[in-house]
Amino acid sequence: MLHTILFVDDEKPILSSLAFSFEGLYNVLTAQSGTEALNIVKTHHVSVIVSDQRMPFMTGVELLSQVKQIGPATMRILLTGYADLEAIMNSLNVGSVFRFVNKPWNTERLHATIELACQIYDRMNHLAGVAPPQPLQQIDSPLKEKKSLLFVDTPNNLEALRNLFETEYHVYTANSFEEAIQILQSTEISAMTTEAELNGEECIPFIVALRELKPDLATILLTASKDASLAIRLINEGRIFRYLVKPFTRQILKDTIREAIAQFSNTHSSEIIARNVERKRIFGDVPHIQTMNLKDIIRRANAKLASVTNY
Amino acid sequence: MQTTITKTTQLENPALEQRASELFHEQLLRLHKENDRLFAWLLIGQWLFAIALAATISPLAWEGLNNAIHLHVWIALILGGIIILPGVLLGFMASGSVLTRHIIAIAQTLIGALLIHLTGGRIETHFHVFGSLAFLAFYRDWRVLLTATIVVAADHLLRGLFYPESVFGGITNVIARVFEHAAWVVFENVFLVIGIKRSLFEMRQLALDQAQLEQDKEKERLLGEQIKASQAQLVQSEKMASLGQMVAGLAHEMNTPLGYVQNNLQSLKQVYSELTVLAQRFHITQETLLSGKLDTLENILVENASYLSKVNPQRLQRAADIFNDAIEGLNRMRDLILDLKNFSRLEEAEMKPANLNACIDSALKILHHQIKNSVLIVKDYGQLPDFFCFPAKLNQVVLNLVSNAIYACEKRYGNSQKGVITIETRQRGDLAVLKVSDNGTGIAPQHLSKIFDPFFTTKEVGKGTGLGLSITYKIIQEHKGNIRVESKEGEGTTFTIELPIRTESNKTSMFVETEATSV
Repeated sequence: MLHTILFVDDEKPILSSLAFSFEGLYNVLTAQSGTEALNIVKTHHVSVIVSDQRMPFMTGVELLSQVKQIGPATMRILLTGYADLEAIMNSLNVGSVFRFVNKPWNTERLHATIELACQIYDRMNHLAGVAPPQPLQQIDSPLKEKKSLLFVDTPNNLEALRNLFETEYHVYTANSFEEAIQILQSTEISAMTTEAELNGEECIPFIVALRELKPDLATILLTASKDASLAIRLINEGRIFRYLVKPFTRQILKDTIREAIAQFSNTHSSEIIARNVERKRIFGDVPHIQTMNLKDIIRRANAKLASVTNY
Repeated sequence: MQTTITKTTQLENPALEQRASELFHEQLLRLHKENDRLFAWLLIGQWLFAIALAATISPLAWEGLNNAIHLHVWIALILGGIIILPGVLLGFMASGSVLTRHIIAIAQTLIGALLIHLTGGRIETHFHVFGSLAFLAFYRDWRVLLTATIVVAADHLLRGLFYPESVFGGITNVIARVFEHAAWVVFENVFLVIGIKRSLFEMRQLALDQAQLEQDKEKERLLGEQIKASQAQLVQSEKMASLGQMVAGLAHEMNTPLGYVQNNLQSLKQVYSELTVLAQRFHITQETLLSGKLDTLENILVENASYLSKVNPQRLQRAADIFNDAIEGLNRMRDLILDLKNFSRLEEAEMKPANLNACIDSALKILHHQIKNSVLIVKDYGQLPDFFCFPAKLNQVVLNLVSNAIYACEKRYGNSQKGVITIETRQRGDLAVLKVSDNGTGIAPQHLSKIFDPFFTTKEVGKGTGLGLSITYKIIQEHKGNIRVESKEGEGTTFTIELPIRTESNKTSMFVETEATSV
């Protein structure tokens, strides 16, 4: 059976264009507004929704976050011509989008992305059929066992983070990406936060490498800089869980980490399934990675990624 | 300690000291030259006076015996001429030099001596000496007084000894009288020298003040230039900011059509290849029919059917639609580029006829991406003739006003589309009236008087330069129009602009009538 994909844009020519290029391959539906799209999502099994950001009455991010409530399995892609940072970060933090795609889009890449999204959707449904989904752990309920957290940041911040989380979690800290990799290879870590840049080194290669090394690790980026292109790469290539801009409240960080652990400890959660399907597609069925040095891991991960995801 | 301070000030401002000294010497030289010329005329006058004196008074005064052309007339004429000649010549031809004023001093005292002689040594004529000294003091050079004094003393002494009647009118007590006269001369000289000192001091002070003034003026000028330069830079950065806003808007507006035009062409390429195959099949079929190889025809028709089944007629119909969309999209991009071209000519040299309503529309197109998300635009255009204006600048005015209105609406209503911006145009007599009203947050009364001031902004640091409205104001001024604002906090704001409808070109004249105030 064909997958159902829904395109949402207030520009009719965009919808015609997308519908024409995807019809036959998928069951294509279109909507010209957020409300119309929500009605479709409620009445159809939509595998993938691709929405424009800037639309009157309801923005793409607002739409996607409601879609997430109605059908969490529906893969969400944000398509926009406006590199608007707020929207990008919200798309990750509120809408948990699968991809952020800029207009004008590359037709072949969009096809590949939608195909991948459909595979993930299938996998999630398959697992849901095999075993009933475990209820997600409530964010406010106490955790059954003490989980391990890894913080990658500057020494000053590490001190503050350690003080904040020590009582609830096993806290590990690293002030370089190399050190972080070493800890990740030797210890079972549930969630990690990292700075965007440490000692003049960018986090992107490190985060990309982790997709192969630790696909079920929740990564949260903490940064002081609002950088749209960095955010797009982190969503699309890094598949980070959340992007928090400093300064934020302690409570937000606590909640985000709890949410991350809840999502990632459930092997049937969309986050885990999506990551595993992607990992298999990008890196193939690799045996467990032997201890390697950071540079080798990064080089390998980047080489493989470059062929698959580049918007 | 004090010397150190003086030294430091001198070191601190050697340019000032130097300039003051220059000014002082200039002034002194001017004074010397002026004095030299005055003395030259005075010498001539005194010579003529001496001749007249000799011709009229001397014969009577001198023992009253003879009234023919007296020897004294010849003395006055010839000796007087000899005395004044070097002084007059130098006074006119080498005014200002040190030698000139000393020669003049000698000539002036000698002509005095001549006059004393001509009046028969009358004591009253001796006053001439005091007058001469006082006049010579105008040079503000005590050495000139010295020369004059020496000459007077020498003349008194020599004539007192050898020809006392010529200088004292008699022959009694000559030596004592020489000394007495000399003493009075010294007495006068003392005051004159003190006077000279004081006046030189004052001149120096004046020069210093003037130098200071010059320096201050120069500083002021430089400061003014700096301010102008930095203002120009800020205006430029505002222009860049609005250009940035335009580029962002344009990029968004371009991305949408670009997205579907690209995608459509990609899809159509596939449709084209399907149709190409059909054309080939048609060709083969046609050839087979014409060549009469009917035995193969059946196979070909069967093959054709399989190709035809792949072609969906509905899809072909839609292909035509997306073909049209692509063309439409390209037109949209072309229009955007044309609008941008209008905007890029911010510095127009001359006014040209344009339609205000069209200007508004092209500014709105640039703002489209901001508008569609948050506000409703109500256009209420009246009939307006084309009139002479700077269309790109008016574009900017509309851009500024409407983007401020959007900001005010977004601040009040967020994304909820309750914001309404009304743009009204009307012709009222020979004025074009443009009103931009919004129902946004309004302007606080205490801010209302400042909104046209450069750099005034209520936006966060980095969000606005505070130049948008001041540039708007300037543009309206350039059009000889006026702009008013009415606002109620919490209810909304209305900007009203009146522009004269100029139907004849008003070419820039070659010369500036009044100095333009440039911000």
